[in-house]
Parts: sequence; structure tokens; C-alpha cells
Amino acid sequence: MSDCNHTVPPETLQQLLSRNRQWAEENSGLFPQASQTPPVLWIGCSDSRVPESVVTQSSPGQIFTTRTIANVVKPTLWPEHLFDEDSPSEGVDTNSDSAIFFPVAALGVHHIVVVGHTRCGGVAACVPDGRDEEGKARAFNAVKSDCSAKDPVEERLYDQLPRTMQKWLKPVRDLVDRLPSDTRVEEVIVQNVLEQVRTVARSTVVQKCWFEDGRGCLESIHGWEYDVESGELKDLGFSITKETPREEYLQVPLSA
Amino acid sequence: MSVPLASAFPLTGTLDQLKKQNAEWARRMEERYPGFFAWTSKAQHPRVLWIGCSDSRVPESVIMNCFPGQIFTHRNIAGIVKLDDPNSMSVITYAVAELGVEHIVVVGHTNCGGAAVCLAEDAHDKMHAFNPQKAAHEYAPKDARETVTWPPPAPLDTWLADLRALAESLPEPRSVLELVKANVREQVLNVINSDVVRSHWYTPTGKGHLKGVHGWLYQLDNGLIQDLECSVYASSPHPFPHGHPLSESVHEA
Repeated sequence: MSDCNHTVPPETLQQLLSRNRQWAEENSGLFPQASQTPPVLWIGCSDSRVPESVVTQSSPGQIFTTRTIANVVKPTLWPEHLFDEDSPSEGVDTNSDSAIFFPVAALGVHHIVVVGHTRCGGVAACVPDGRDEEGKARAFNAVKSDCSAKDPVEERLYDQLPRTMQKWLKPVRDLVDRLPSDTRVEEVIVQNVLEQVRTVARSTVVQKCWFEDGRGCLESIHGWEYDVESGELKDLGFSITKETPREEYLQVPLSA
Repeated sequence: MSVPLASAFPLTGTLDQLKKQNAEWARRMEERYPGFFAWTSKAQHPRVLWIGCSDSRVPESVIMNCFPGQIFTHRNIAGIVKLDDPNSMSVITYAVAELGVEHIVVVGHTNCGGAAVCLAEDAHDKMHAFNPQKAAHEYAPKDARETVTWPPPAPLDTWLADLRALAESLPEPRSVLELVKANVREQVLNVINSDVVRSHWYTPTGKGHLKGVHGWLYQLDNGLIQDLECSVYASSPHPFPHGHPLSESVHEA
């Protein structure tokens, strides 16, 4: 059969399932799949444009993956006494905490990459109105006017987001407040990646692996950015390893 | 276009290898599908939300042979959603009410370690879920180690508590396969009980274009997705009407 144009999304679930069948047939040499020994944990955005194994041409088994809104993670931090109790945004999320703990301590990944991407709607919603309107517009696709009551609408303002999304994105909102008031959306996206790299480095599982009796062979944590306009991954040149002086990242954000 | 497989690459230089493979991919995509990135960069229009396991063997867009822009994705340990978990609830809320996905697929997979740790030793397929080297009894103190018996270390014990309760509610003999399937069915119910889906389907103004929520099983032995036939559609009667004690997930905290 001719290579149907896969840039056109499948109309139905049946079409989606038939793509899976075709793929399984073409890649039958992969199966049965053995236990996983992925060298890398990818922490990325749920954005449909950034499927980690497609953009890196990786076969199944290479990249352990968690994808969340705006690639935010909220693991347990170490040492706990530096936790800022006044900041509710620092609450632990068992979901992402587990998704970091397991690959490090149980699977033994060697590297963690935190991957943000250009035109991230989650981050853009945390940038207040009146700032970088162009940057915000590029991150969203919905037009607010002329919508019926049931039409989906991308909320552009943090205060108008559903409460559950406000809670999830609070660390990004707080980050925006700490940055200079003229910081553009694309720079907030980058700073958010660096913030998540620091957060992962501060996590209990990583600190214990590097400095206490914790399990794992983690070598490094890196910040990357995927450019949706070119398909290219960019290394932001920000990495944390066991050798990085801890005071460079072991600080409560609000003290900065 | 099926995604070409990466050949096995050595551990050293892994990240450089990923970057190199990405650069090559981006170039070939632009050659083969000129304008693809310019078009998808303007907006994402995924029709599907995939909720699945973080397991490295289950990359949704590879196994579904899809291009970037087609599947909005949340992956976590064992593909669990919880009504009081802002992480998974934010993804579902954004996908339904803001992006307008038409389908949500909850996808479990065979040999899931998260499910296996919830089962007793005598589950016949339990040990297939673990890497024999990482689950060995002889190990150096700092070696990465998969926990085989319940309870796993924190935070996994908390994250998997509902799955453990589900495991204990299953009839004997229990298996990882049956637990994974039961978990998928349970997560489908959790999804439809979320505020965003409930308000979209059962009130006049809840936003979205969602048509159905489905449960699938990915099989590691042959790469095929099996539909578990537990789909719930916008037009289905709500399996548990609002106000019914079981209209919330039975394991909600």
C-alpha cells in the first residue's frame, strides 16, 4: 500500500489502530520485547508536537518518559528543612515524584533531560496580560470570540485557568513573578526548563543517589529545548552533576 | 512513514547520539514533508489524548505510527489518573476543554512493573515484569534495584496504593495481565468522573469535542494494541449517575 499521508491525523480510532498494526508488522524484529534498561529519563511537555522517541528516532526501550503540562515536576526535595512552607506551589506531586524516583533508583538511568519547547501554551498562560502579546499569541491557537458555549477555548490568562491547572502551574507563575517584568514568553520557557533541572537535582532521590546511601547511577541532569518550528533539539548548556557545587541549586527559589 | 529504528548505541555519548539522531530526523522531515514544521508550529490540533505508562517500551507516537501534533500525551508510572492529582487532571482538563481532543485512550501494557509489585509472589506472570539483573537478591548497596514485593519504597507506595487495593479486590488466581486490564478499566472511569469530562458531557456548557474514552492494552510480545472494549461515549448513559456512591472512583482518597 502506498505510504498514506501520515501528516493528516487519523479520522477515527480504527485508523489509529490500523497504523499500530502496520507498525507492529514492519517492526516485528523488535518483539517480544525484553525488560527495559533505558539509559535516559525524559521529562517533557504533554504537547502533542514533542513525542520524545519520534523526534530522537529512538526505538522503544531507550527513553523512560514522563510528560506533563509545561514539563513541570514536583518531587520530594532534599533536605526537607529547606522546603519553603509558605509557598503552596512547592507541594509534592506523587505522580511526578514517582516518575523520577523509579527510573533513577530502580532502573538506573544515567541521564535525565528536562525538555521544554517553543510556543508552550502552559508557560504562556502564566505571563500576565500586557506583556509580550506577540509571544503569547504565538503560543495559542484558539480565538476567544465567536465560540459557542461548548467550543474548547485556550485560556490565555492564569487567573482564568481552571483551578486544577492554576495549582499545577503555580511554580511557573511564581517564576514569572521573580523574573524581570519585561521577560518575554520564550525566555520564561527557557528559565522554566532551568528551574525544573534545579528541582530535579534537589530531589530526594537524586541527592541520596549522589551524596548519601541512595540507589542509582545517575550521572547528570540537562536542560534542553525543542524548537517546534524546526524540529530541532537545542542543548541549553545547563547541566547539573554530582560535581556541581550544591549551593548553586540547593536554595529556596524565593530567596533569590 | 514508520519511524526507523535507532541502532543500539553505547551508553557513553548517549545524549550526543540522541541529539545527532534528532538533527538527522529534523532534516529528513523537512525534505520529505516541506512546510510540516511551519504548519504544526502554529498550533497543535491533536485529536487524541493518550494516558499511558512511562515505561520506555511504550512510546505512544512510535507504536501508533503518528506524527508530531497528533497525540497529546501524559505518561506516568502505571498510567494512573487520580481525581485529586493536579498533574494528570491538568492534562485532561487542557486536552478536553482547551484543545478539544475527540478521544481519550487509557493504555496499559503487559509486564508492567508498577502492577507487578502490587501482586503476591504466586502471580504466575509477576517476574516477567522485572529485569532479572535489577531485581536480583545479590546486589551492591548503590545498585539500582527494582522492588519485587509490596511495599515498594516511597513515593511508589503512595502512588500505587489504589492499584494495590485494586489488586487485592481481584479474584484468585491473580496475574499482572488481569490487574493491568482492571487498572485500565478503572482509569477509564476516573477519566469520565473528572470535572472536565463530567461537565462537558452532562451539563449544557462544559467545553470540548470529546466523543469517547477508551481502554487499550499494549502487548510487549508483538507490538499490538488490543481494545479492551470498555469504551464510554458521550452518548452512553453515565455508568454511575452523579450522586451514586460509585460515581466517584471507589479508590478516591
